[in-house]
Amino acid sequence: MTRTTRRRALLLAAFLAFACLPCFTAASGTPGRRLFAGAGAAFLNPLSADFRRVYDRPGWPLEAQLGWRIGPRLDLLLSGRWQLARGETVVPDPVGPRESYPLRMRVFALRLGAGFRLGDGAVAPYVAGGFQQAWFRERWPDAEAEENGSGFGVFAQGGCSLRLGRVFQLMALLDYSYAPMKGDETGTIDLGGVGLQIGIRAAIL
Amino acid sequence: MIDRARRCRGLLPALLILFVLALTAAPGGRELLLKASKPVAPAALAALEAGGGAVVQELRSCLLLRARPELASRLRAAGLAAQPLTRVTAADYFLLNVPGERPLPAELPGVRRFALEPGTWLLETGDAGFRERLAQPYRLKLLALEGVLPVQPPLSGERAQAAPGAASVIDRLAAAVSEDRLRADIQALQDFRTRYASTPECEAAGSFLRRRLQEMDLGAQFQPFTFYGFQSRNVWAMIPGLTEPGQKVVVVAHYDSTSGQPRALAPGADDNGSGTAAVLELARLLSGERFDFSIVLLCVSAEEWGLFGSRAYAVQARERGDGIVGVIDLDMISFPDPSGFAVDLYGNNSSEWLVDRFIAVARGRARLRLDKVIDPSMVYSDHSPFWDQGYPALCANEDSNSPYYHTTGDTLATLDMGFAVEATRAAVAAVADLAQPIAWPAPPAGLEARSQAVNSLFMRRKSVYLNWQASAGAAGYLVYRADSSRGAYARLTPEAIAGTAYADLLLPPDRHYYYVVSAVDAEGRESNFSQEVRDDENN
Repeated sequence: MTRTTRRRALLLAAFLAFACLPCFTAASGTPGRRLFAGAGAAFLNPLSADFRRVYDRPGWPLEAQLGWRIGPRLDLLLSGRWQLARGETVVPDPVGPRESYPLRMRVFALRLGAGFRLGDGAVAPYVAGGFQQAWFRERWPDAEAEENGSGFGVFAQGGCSLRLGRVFQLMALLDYSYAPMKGDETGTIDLGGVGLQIGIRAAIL
Repeated sequence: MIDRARRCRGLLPALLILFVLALTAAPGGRELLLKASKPVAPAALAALEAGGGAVVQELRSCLLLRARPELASRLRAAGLAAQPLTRVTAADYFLLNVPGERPLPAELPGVRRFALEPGTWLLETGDAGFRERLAQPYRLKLLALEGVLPVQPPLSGERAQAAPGAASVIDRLAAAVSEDRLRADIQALQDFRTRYASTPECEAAGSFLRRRLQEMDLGAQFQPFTFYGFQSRNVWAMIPGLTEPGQKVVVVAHYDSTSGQPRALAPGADDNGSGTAAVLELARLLSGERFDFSIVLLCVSAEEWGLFGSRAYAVQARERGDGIVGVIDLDMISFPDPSGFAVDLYGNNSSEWLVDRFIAVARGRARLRLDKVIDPSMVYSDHSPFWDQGYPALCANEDSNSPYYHTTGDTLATLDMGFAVEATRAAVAAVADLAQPIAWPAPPAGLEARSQAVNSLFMRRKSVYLNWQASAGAAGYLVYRADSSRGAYARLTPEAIAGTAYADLLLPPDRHYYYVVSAVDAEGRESNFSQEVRDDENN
């Protein structure tokens, strides 16, 4: 089993374990706890100047989320976040013709954290935070080159939730993430940033 | 008074210790010369170097090493059993070789000797006159105690074979060797009666050689040097290369001579009037031609005293950082064996390629047999100091046993001028081939390279931009790249390109690349390579 396969298997196991939590809690008779699922998209502004210089189109990160309400206002959150960015190479000290080659970058972050509603009304402030493990793959097709890496970081969110009936919630959050990544040929680069994220949640169990 | 006396007594042991320490710390004071039988493990050589020791000489069966005694135990641990010969002093150290493995006289006052190989001794002496108490013939080499450098690998950057147009140039040059001129020059050198270094006649011979080279419009110069309080002069001239003048092909011959009565009569027609005349003939033939690399025509003195002249040149070349493609030493090339014309080409392991190339180019252009002899013990001619300085070199020497060697009978009358012509033809072909005649079309000039980094977020690449001047008669150009300077060039352009610029894009950034360009004419004939440039040479 390769390292990547093992890592994927672990992630899948963690996800399944998290998804099964309500079944166990239901069996132990703890009413009021709910599993919910959500999805959202963000407009991201990377904090790294290098990232911004190479990837002028950092893309719209998409996030899928599973949540488990463990208290009246407290949620445990597990989410996966995908980002596809497009950019072009840079020439720091040009001495010849201007060269530019297209680049692709995919980032996947697995986030684990907690969220807290600051009120019981239909509209309530909401804050969340936690840790994330992220993986990236940068591709340079003209050079037939590719770089992979990973890094551990944190995230924090703040905004509000709007209850839409008994099942749905609309979320509008300011998202901050710190995602330091180290490549073979470079130092550490932060792939995180500040973004505005809009999403919807649905209670499913 | 008593206190002062006590204090003085207390100081005495301290002074004694300081004195002993000073003695032991004197540079070279405790160093030994050691003999290590081959093969020697690379780890042992690395330990020797790391410990401040050095290889002083490589011979066929052993190495001579210089090292401090405490290093010997470390060398033993690294697998080297080295036998101490003597402690290094201010004396001179010579390798002495006696042809035919004759024994040395039982007594040689003022000289300590150590047997190294059959017929070869290490001599330790402070007496310059010891050589005149030795019966001729013998051969000497002064040891360079500072250590020898590993000989560079061959320059694979130049062509393994001459460009097609160059072959006809080499043919023409080899065919143009003049027997009359060779004869006249050997006669002129013999007419000095002796050219024993340290005599006025030897100095006059040096002036004659410089005049001869100047007559050919070559800016001949003296290189003075001293040995045992005497002064002598090497004479050299250069045919500048057009493409890479910094790369030199050296053809060397010693013009001094010796015999049983060296100060009175040492005609030295074969040893080495023949090699010296060949150098003059090479100068005449090659001076009108165009080559990629420079050719140095070098006549050295004091070879018979222990290779002093060639050592002076080779050491200075290394200090200057000269790039030397190869050294061809011509030493006795006119007394044939009764079985026919034959020349032995002596090389060491690192110079074997040079011997092979000499044989390949001379074959068919000179009617004589050329025998390859790879023998690091053959250090008794002027190629050897070049080996010591890390330059590839060979010695061309007649395959015969001349009864006139180092005698007063070594005269023109004993030589076979037909053999001299054929041996000189071989030398002309080899030197011209190494220097690479410029045939049509001319190699591109003015090659420039600039490199720029191209970065993604996590990856680095570099692109190299080349441009050069158009060559007259060129229909296109081929671009080559190597990972090391003068390494194995790989062609980047499958077909000739029309322009005078080329971009080598998106290379791994963690190393340098080296480029040359050649021109191709309408008939598909490729020129020699241009000058080499490093990828960032013109940044």
